[in-house]
Amino acid sequence: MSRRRVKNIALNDDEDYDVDESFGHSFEDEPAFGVSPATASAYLFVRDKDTGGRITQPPLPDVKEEPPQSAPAPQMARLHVATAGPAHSVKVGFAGAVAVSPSVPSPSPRLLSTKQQQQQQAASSASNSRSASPAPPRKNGADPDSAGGDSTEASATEAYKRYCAGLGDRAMINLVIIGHVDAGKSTLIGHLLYLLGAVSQKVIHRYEQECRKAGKPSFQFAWVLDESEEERQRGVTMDVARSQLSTPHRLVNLLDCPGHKDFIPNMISGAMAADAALLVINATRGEFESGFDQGGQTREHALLARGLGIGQLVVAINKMDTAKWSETRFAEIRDKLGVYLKSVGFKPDCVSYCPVSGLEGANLNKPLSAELCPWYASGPTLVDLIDRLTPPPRSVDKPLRFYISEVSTGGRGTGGSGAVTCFGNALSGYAAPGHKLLLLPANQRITVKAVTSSGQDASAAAGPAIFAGDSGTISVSGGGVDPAHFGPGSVLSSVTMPCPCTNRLRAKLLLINVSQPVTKGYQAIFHQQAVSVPVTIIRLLAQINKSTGQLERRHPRYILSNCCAEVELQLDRPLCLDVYTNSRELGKFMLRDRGVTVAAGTVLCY
Amino acid sequence: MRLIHKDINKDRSGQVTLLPENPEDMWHAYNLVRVGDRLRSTTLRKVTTENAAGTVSSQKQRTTLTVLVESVYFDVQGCSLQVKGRNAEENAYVKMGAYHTIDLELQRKFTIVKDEWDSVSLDRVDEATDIARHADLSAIVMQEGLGHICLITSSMTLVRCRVEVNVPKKRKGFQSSQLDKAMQRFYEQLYQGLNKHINFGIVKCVILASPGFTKDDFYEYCFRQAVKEDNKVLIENKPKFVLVHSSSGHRQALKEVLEDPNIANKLADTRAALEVKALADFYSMLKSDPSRAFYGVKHVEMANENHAIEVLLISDSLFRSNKIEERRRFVKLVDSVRENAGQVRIFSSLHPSGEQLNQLTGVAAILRFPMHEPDDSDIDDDYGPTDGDGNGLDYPTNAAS
Repeated sequence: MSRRRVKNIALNDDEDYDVDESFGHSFEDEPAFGVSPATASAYLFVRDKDTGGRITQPPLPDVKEEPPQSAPAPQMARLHVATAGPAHSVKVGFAGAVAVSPSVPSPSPRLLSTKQQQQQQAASSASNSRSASPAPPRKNGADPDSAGGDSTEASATEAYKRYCAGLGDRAMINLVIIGHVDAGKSTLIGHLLYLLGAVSQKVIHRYEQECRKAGKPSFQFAWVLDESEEERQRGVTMDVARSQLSTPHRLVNLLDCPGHKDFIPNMISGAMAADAALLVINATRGEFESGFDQGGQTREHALLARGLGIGQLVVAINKMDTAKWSETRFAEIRDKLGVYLKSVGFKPDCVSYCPVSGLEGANLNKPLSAELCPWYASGPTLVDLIDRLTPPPRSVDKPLRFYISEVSTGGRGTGGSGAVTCFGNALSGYAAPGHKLLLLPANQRITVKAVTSSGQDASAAAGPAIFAGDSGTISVSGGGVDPAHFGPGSVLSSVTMPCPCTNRLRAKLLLINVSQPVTKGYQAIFHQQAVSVPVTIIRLLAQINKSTGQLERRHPRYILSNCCAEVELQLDRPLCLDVYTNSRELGKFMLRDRGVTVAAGTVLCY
Repeated sequence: MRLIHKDINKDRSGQVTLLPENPEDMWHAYNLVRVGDRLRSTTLRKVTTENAAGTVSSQKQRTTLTVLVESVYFDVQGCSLQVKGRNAEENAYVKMGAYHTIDLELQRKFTIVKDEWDSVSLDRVDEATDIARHADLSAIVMQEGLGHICLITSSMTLVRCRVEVNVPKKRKGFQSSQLDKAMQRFYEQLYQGLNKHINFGIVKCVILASPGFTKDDFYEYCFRQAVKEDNKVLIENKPKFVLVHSSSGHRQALKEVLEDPNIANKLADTRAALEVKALADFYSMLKSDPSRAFYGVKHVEMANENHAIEVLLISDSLFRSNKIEERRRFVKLVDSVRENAGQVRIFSSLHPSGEQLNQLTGVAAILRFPMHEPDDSDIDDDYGPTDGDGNGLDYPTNAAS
C-alpha cells in the first residue's frame, strides 16, 4: 500500500509505471482496518476460509505434539486449522454463515486455593498431585522443549509450596482503590502506608515542606503515590500507582487509580488486575451528592469494578472529620450506596463500610476513640476490613498466561543491557528463569532470563518465580528477540497451550448506558486489560433476557440500554483473548464510547 | 472545480467538461466517472517509433485521448484518480481499442460523456462547481502515546498521519523523567507531523483534541518549539488553534470533535456537520420511536412505497456500484423521495458519519409516521449492495497505514 502511494504522488515522474500492477482495485477493496502488508506479516496471521475469514493463529513452529486427547481438543483444533495451505490474502467482506462450534469449557480446573494447596502438600506427594491435574499433553522426551518443560511442571507445585511457605500464613491479594475525583484516595493510602511503616517520617516531612512551597498544603500523603511532576502540579492522580503493604493476615498489592473521567482507561487497566476494591467516598455535604450523580465517577467506578469481576468491596467513607463524625450522615450515605451497589450486582455480605479520615488518619489502623466517635468506637478499622478480604483461588495449574502491560528495553534491571523487561500480571500458571515461552500475537519463541514478583523478593528462599495472581516482571534474553514485538497487550504464554489471539469474536454484551440505540456498524473502543482498540459491531445476533438468559429476539435491528445481547465484533487489530469460561481475565472486556462506559462484555467464542 | 461546458440532451445523455483545482475535486470526479462512460482528457502516452535505420526509440507524447472506462481507482491519501479503459476515438498515437490509463491531473480539464445523467450525478456536478468555498479544518486527536493528524474538508476526512509512541506508565521505583522523555518524544513527532502535513494557507482552523491535559501540554510544547526554531509560519497561525475535549485519541473521536459546539460555528454550513447532525437525528428517532426509523434497502423501499419518508440518508458508495441496475434503483429511490417532498442527504464515505452509515447498510430513513416493520425472517442477514460474485461490497475506508 505504501508503494502505491509513493507512485501516485510522483505525478510528474517521467518513469513509466507499470499500469497493470494491482490495478482495478479501488481503495474500497483495501483491508478495512488499513493493515499494510508489513504489519500483516509482522502478525503472521492467515485468513482462513473455513472459519469464515477470521484471523486464526498459524501453526506453532517446531513443537511436535501428539493429538490432544481430552476436552481441550476442539479449542486447540481451531488454532491449528490453518496448518495446511498458503497464507491467504487478507480479504474483507461480510462473512457468510459462519460455522462456529460452541465453546467447550475446559476440563474442570484444579484451582488450588492456598488452603487446599497446603492440604494437598501434606497429604500427597508432588508427582501424585501433578498427575491428578490436567497437565497439557506432552510428548515424552523427544521434544527438547518439553524435556525442560516436564521438569518445570513437576517442580511447579514444589515451588508453589515453597512460595506459600515463604509468604507465611499471609495470602496475597490485589486491592484497587477507586472513587470519585477528590474523594481522597491517594491521601488515604499514603497515610495508611505511613502509619504501617512503609514510608518513613522523614519522607512525609519533606513532602509536607515541598507541597506547602508549591501551594498545595495537605497533599503530603498523596505525594507518596503521585510521583510525577505533572500529577503533583495539578493535584490529580493521572495513572495507576502501585505499592504494597502488609496486614496481619494479608499481603496487599495496592493499585491507586485516578478518579477523573478522562483517565478511566487507566483505571480499567488497573482494576483488571485486582481481586477486591476499596471504594472511597467523600462524606462532605455536597461532594457526595455530586459524586453520586449521573455524571459522577462513584457510580461508574462501582459499575466498572463489578463489570470487571470484582466481587468484594470495602467502602471507606472518607473526610468524616468535615462531616463532624455524624452518625446520621454515615447512615445516609451507607443506605444510598447500599441500594445502588446491590442493583449493580454486589452481594450485600461482600460489601463492608467504615468511616475514616484520610488526612487525620482516624480509623485507619487504630480504632476510633469513644469521645471522637461514640457510635463506632468498637467497629473494625480499615485495616481490619482489608484483612478480612478473601483472595480468590489462584489457577497456578493452568497454562501460563503472563499479560504484559509495559515493556522496557535495556538499562538497569534484572536482565542487563540488551534484554527486554516486561512488566505485567501473571493471570494463570507459573514462570521461572529458563522457561521457554511463546510471545503472542507476534508469535515468537523466547526464553525467560529473570523473573521478579510482587509476592517475594528475588532473594527469597523459594527462588525467583512468578505465580498466578502476582504482578511482576519477566526479563527476556536479548539474542534474537525483537523489542518491537513486545508491547502492552502482548501475552507470554506456554508453548503447548498458547493463548488464543483473534480480531473477530462473538461476545455477550450487557448494555449499560447508551445514548443512542446500538445498531450494526456501531463503533466503540474495546478495553481489555491494558489495551484499548477501536471496535465495530458487525452483526447483532440475538437479544437475550438479562436475568433468565432466554432468547428474546433473533437478529434484532437495534439494541437499547439495559439489554443483554449476543453480537459479533471486529477489532481493528488482533488481541489476545480467550473464552470467558476458560480465562476470566482474558475473556472480559468493556466497551466505551465518548467517555462513557457503554457495555460490559464476555467473550463467547472466536 | 470549474464547469467549462455542459451539454445534456433530452434523453439524458450528454457530456460535461470540468477543470479540477484541488484534491477534493478528484473525489467528486471519482463519484462521477463510472464504468461504461467515456472520459476525454489529455494524457501522456509512451510512443515507440522505429526509424529507417531500425533503431527503436520511445518517448512520452502528450495527447488527448477518449477512453471507454473499464475501471476506476482512487487513492485516498494522494487524492488521485486513475481511469483505465480502451481507446474509443481515433488518435494519431494510439490504436482503437488499445488499453490506456488516464491519470487525471489538477488544472487540466477533462470531459465525461455519459449515456444517462441521473439526478444524483447532476447534483454532484453542481456541488463540485459551487463557488462558495467551505472551511477546511485540520484536527489533531491525541491521547497519551497515540495521535492522528487529520484534514477535514467538506466532503472528505483524511487521516494524514498517525503517531504511536510507547509511553511507559507509572510503576514502583519509577523515574518520572522516563515518562516525560517519552512524552517529549511523542510531542516531537506530532510537531513534525503538524509541520509537514498541515498546509496553513488552506486551513482555517487547527483543532487540538484530547482527553485529560495532553492537548494543553502539546500546545505549549508546540509554541515553545516554534519560538526555539523560529518557525514563523506556525507563530503567525497561532490564533487558528482551538483546544477541544474528546474522549480518546482514536479516529472515532473525530465525530465528537465535529459535534462540539465550539467548532460548530466554524464549520457552519459544512457538509460534515450537517451529516453528523442528520445521523444523530436518525439515532435519536430510533431510540424514541423505532417504528419511525428504518434502515436497510428493503425496509426503506417499502417505506417509500407508502410515501412515508421524510428524510433519506444514503451513502454515496451505493452510487458507485458497478452494476447499473443497482445505481438506477437507488437513484429512483432518491428521486421519488424528492418528489414526495422529502429531504435527501447524501453522505460522503470519507467522513466518519458516512463510514458509520455504510456499516448500517448505507441507506436509512426517518419516516413521517410510524410504520409497521416488515418481517425480518425472510430477509437475508447480510443484505446490501453486492458485486457480481455475491460478496458484500467493501465499503471505502480511510485508514492511514
